[in-house]
Amino acid sequence: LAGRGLPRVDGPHVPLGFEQVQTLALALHELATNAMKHGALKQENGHLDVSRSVQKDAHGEKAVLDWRESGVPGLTRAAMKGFGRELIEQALSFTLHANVALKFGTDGLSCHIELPLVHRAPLFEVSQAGGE
Amino acid sequence: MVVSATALQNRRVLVVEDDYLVAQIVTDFLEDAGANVIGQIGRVDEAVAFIHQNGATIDCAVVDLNLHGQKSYPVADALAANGITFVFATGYDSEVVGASYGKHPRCEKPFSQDTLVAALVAIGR
Repeated sequence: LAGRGLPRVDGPHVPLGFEQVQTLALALHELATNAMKHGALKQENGHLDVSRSVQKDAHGEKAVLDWRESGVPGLTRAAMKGFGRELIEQALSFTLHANVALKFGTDGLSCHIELPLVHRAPLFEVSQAGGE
Repeated sequence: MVVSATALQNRRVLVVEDDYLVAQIVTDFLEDAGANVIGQIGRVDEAVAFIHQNGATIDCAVVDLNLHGQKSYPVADALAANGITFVFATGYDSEVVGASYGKHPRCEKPFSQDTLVAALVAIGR
């Protein structure tokens, strides 16, 4: 990656549950792989900026992740394999109820992910008196 | 053993599973055997509502035991109330399936295509 500038990653650490980690990691891997092969991590003038935050709305807390590539002209949806897009556009919403916007802009790919932060008890936890 | 392409011919199957990739694989397993997967649903409340609305069009179901941290027993109840047979798909052993639900057939994950198709063939229509 020398000479192209390191990806910039901003924002607080956001603890996630194991189910969230599994599916989100698959999606991030697809984004990173795509950036290496076709996008900001391949192009001489490409740049990758990733920001994280936690936001609150009427439904509760959500983790918001913005993956923004720039300096990558001429990218089309066809650059990303169907299965990669499926993981990002279908699996995140089906499995984690995330809202996802994957865009192939004129200056590069961007992906906006809003992930509800659900704190749930283990399914088969030993019951405790006075539990919630 | 190779699954017959007609083992589940024309069977209308509901897949209740909260993991996208597992739901896709289960659907592929079933469609390879001739089944018609009429829905993939990952939430207890949505599955129950779907069964109440479409019970007459469902022949059988595959039901994951753990849906986003909730046990899927309400889904099992809704299926039973509509006379729809089903198998539980679960990563947990039989000890943790509630006593009154233990009578239903289970496919313990990770299961093969043969195991799943054979379980659905066994419960008939």
